[in-house]
Amino acid sequence: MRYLFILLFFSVNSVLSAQDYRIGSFYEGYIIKKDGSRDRGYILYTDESKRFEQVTFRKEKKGKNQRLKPKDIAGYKIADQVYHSVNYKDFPFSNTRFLLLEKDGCLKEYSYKFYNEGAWVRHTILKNDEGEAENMDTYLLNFSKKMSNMVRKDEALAQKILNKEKGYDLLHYNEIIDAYNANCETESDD
Amino acid sequence: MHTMRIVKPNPMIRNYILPILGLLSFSLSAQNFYWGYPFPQPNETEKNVSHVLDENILYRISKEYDLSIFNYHVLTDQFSLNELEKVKSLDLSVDQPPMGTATLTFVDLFQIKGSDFVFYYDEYNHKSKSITLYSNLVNIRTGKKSDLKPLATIDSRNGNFQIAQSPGKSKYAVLKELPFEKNTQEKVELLLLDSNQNILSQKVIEFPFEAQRNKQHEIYVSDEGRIVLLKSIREKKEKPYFNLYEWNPANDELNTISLRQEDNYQIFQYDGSFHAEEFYFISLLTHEKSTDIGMKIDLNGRHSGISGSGVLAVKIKPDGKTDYVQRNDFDIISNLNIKNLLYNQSQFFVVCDRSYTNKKSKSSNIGQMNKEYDYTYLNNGFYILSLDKNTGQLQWDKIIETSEPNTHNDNGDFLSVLSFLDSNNRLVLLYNETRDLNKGVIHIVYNRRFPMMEVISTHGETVSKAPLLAAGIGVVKEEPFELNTQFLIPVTDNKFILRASNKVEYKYGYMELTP
Repeated sequence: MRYLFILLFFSVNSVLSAQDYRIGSFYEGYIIKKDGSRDRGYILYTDESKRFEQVTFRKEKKGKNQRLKPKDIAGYKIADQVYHSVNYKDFPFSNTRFLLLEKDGCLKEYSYKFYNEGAWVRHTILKNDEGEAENMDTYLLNFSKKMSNMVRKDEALAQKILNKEKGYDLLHYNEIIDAYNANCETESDD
Repeated sequence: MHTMRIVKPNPMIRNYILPILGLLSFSLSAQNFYWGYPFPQPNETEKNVSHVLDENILYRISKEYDLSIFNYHVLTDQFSLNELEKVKSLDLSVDQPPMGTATLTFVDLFQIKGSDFVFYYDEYNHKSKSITLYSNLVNIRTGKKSDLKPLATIDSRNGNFQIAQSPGKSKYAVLKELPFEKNTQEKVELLLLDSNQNILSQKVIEFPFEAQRNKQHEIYVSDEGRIVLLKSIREKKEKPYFNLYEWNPANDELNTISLRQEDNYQIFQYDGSFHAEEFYFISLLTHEKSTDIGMKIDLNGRHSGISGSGVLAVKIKPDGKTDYVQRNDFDIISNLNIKNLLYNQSQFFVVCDRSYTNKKSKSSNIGQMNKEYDYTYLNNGFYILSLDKNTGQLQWDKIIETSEPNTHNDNGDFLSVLSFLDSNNRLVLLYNETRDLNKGVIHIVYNRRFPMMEVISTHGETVSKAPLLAAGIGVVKEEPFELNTQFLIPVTDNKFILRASNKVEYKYGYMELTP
């Protein structure tokens, strides 16, 4: 009988019951090497203060940890989120970080978050098919010139932005990215 | 002249090698698995989720009714078929205006070919005081939608449309469920559409009983355009029952098949389909005294907590004549839910879960909007029935006992059963068996699910039953992914897509059976 009580006491069900990603746990994902190939493995789920600066990767579930920085690899994927190593123009200097891919296409939209004075600050970075990447904070002044330069391969779109036509301003940059990518995809499909 | 010699097998061969060879020939061939990349687990509770394939992409389509906009959210996720990696998500819901809600309401969708779909919507017009049914073509890969095409109207504020697609996707049937009108005869209208959504034929069916308030219909259509309507009938001072109506637009004949049971048995769950112009209908029966207590219906219309005690099989021949209406009674089994119907040349298998969904509000405030609920899913295993395709008679039935100890808010991810027929027409079941990995008199329970494959012969005997160790999911403490038993997506006859879950993520994977 006393064994029964002890058994009941220890009958703790150990099946995972978490409903969200746990910081500090490894999850399946992959790293993108500089030649574009992928290495499948396990990636440490970290908080947002770390995931833009480095990634901890294991090839096997119980393998050795590799700490990789943006200069080491082209990117990684964990939890359905793809991070690319991007060198981009920032103010006042250029930076290289793992940036979260928000929108894929010829013109890519990335984001990057950092903690500043008690609040999270989010930056948006654009990268075009020429490999030029810029923090959109620098677009606050002279949006039309900088954005039209970013999409210069689509001359008609660039001209509309330069002419400051309605719907082609900073508030509609998402639509501009979509329009550029839609035309770009059409061209590539042809 | 030849002499015959009887050779007795060596005892070693007789006792060991022959049984092993026999087992090998009975057991399924080896299975190869390839798992894709995990993705965050979307909440699928009370959502209608389905999967379709085109040449390169697996689509996960999720439909959810949103009470705040009186409309459905239709979302698709796309997975590359090469690596089963999530590549894109699209929202295909009706666009909502900045203020108010859209009057156009999603009704249903069907695959035409690959990523080309037909979507149906209805909309109430305040000026004409009528509801119009529209369709448009939607490419679920790109999200491109064609213009709306009006198909039919109901001259009332109330009324519903139901749509069905034929197995070969060449015909569509539309049911106009007309509103209740006091002191009139009950009637419905059926429309037959071709693959371009043009009306080929239509018929108003007036029934010999009074109009009903609570309507329950289901329609099925064949590739030649025959429409079968299932209708629930609730006459005064009568127990409700179902009738099947078969309409052939080619000769405008309407056949009626009554499914009414003269004793106290009633249909509580059903499924039907056309196979080469033969229509098969299977329904589970319950005794009236076993229905009320504990009866629950979730938002998807799934019944839970009902005890089944019979199965009714109906076959309608291509000429519209009824081949059989065969009832088979069995001992009462609680919590029956039809999971799958499988057909071979001579028999069909009805695979049922013995499960029950318990939904409880977390809130004590009844008036609160956007209530949160706690769900638990009880299950006791599965019930398999084999019916003779030519007579509808029960050939054999089989109970498989399992139980799932940990189902809190997991949407029943692990407790169901996946089924398919192998090349020998045997029934193959995939399900989880929870085992405690820790041994010893005093120990901490460490449960892990073992993905089991059970092969059942056409005569109902278990030919083989073994854990799918090659799957690489469950079984050991270090492996967080376990078999999600909700979906089995056939790719070819011997290749399927499965899903695994670690309660945080899902991942799709291929299971290939090799000879």
